[in-house]
Amino acid sequence: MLKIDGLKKSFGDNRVLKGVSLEVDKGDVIVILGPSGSGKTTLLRCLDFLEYADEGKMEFDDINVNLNHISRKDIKKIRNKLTFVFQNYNLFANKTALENVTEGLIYGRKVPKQEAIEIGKQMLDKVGLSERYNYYPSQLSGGQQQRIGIARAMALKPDVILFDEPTSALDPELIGEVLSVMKKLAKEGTTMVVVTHEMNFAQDVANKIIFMDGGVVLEEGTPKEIFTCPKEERTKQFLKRILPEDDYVI
Amino acid sequence: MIGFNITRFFDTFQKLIKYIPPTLMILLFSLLFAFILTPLLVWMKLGKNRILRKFSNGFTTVMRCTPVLVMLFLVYYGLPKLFSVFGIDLNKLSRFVFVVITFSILYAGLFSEIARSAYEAIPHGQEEAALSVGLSKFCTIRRIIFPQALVIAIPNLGNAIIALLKNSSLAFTIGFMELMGGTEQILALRFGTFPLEAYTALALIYWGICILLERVFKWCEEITERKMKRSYMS
Repeated sequence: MLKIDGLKKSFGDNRVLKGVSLEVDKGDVIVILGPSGSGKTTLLRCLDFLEYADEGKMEFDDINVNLNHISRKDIKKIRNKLTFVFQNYNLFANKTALENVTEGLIYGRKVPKQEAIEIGKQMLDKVGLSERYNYYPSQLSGGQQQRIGIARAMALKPDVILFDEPTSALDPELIGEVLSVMKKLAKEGTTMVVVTHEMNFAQDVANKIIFMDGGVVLEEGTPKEIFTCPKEERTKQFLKRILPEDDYVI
Repeated sequence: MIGFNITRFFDTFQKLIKYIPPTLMILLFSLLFAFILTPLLVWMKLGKNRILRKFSNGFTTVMRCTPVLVMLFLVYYGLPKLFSVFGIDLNKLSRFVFVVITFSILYAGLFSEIARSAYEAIPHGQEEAALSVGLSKFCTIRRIIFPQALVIAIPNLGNAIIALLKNSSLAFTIGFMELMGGTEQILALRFGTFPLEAYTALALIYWGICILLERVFKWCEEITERKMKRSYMS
């Protein structure tokens, strides 16, 4: 469904992505792991054109583009198929929970207002915020805000949802509620690409793990392959530091 | 009160009332044109074009560094000279126009800085989120950025607008008859007698208008803030 080939991105002299290729099929839950600074977030941001890649090709269903010169029209088309869940939620501070969800529907997708409100309510119900339609982001906890962020992304019925460390800014207590929403989405067959440090989530939910370091994909495979018998030395090191010793055998 | 002639005070006060509209006209028209220029300047400042950005920043610097009185004279004596080169005669133009041009450009420079700083106070992530859910750039600014930036800008805008009102008293130096000019004229007609009574009356009128403006801005602040916290009441 979505295919990236040879994506490169530099910030000045700093080469963040040195040719990343990625393939996402319908229903995939792909978790991208890797140490900080390995380019995971930049990769996701390039997919949604929050950053512009220097080089690379993208194939999304019938859209075929070269990332170093892409038209506004193509960006709009691709953005219609992707949505983004941000690390620090990025909710619209001047809009209520419900308005946050409907904003993109009404003003981005031109969905009639009544219909958008219906969809918005459904989505908020789904993430367990039926009681909070008219609350402003500042009145809600981080976990609730992030669930609105997810509802906002889901409301647009995208082909792929990109999650950029959705739980990294949350209190440990609140991580669970967000992860369980994401798990529910995965079960419903939502295609997701998730950058996270939640190893349990990666093990349980992902069907493909991608390990990135230094701007390249070092290794990819099923959670079982990656967690139980990683091939690359760098992956082993990384997992060793993160997972408790007795959880896996090399 | 010793040495204060109440009758003269009331007399001047009454005569000054008819000069209130010209002062308010300066305020109104200058604000109108400044508010037209400001978005243009901000757009240039935040845009990608280097030349436009330099121009806009340079314009702001010049406007901020020129005393109001100096700018007023520069415009009043300079513009007609400049236009006469192209064969356009501005000498018959009302002084009001020069006053409004002066204050418009001065305050557009100031407002553009207020607007820029307010814009930059809004977390950039909200803009990204808006673009990612499919809002156009313009829609993002209109629906997400502007309403929040306005809340931040209102106190500064209020200060600037009150300063503009007070600075409008300088218009009398090029002979425009507003409150200050009117006071000078009333004084001249009675050979400069009872100046304290006249200026007290003038000050009272300025205070009145300023207090009114303060109230308006306070009210604006409360409305915008209440809107952000509406749900506490619902």
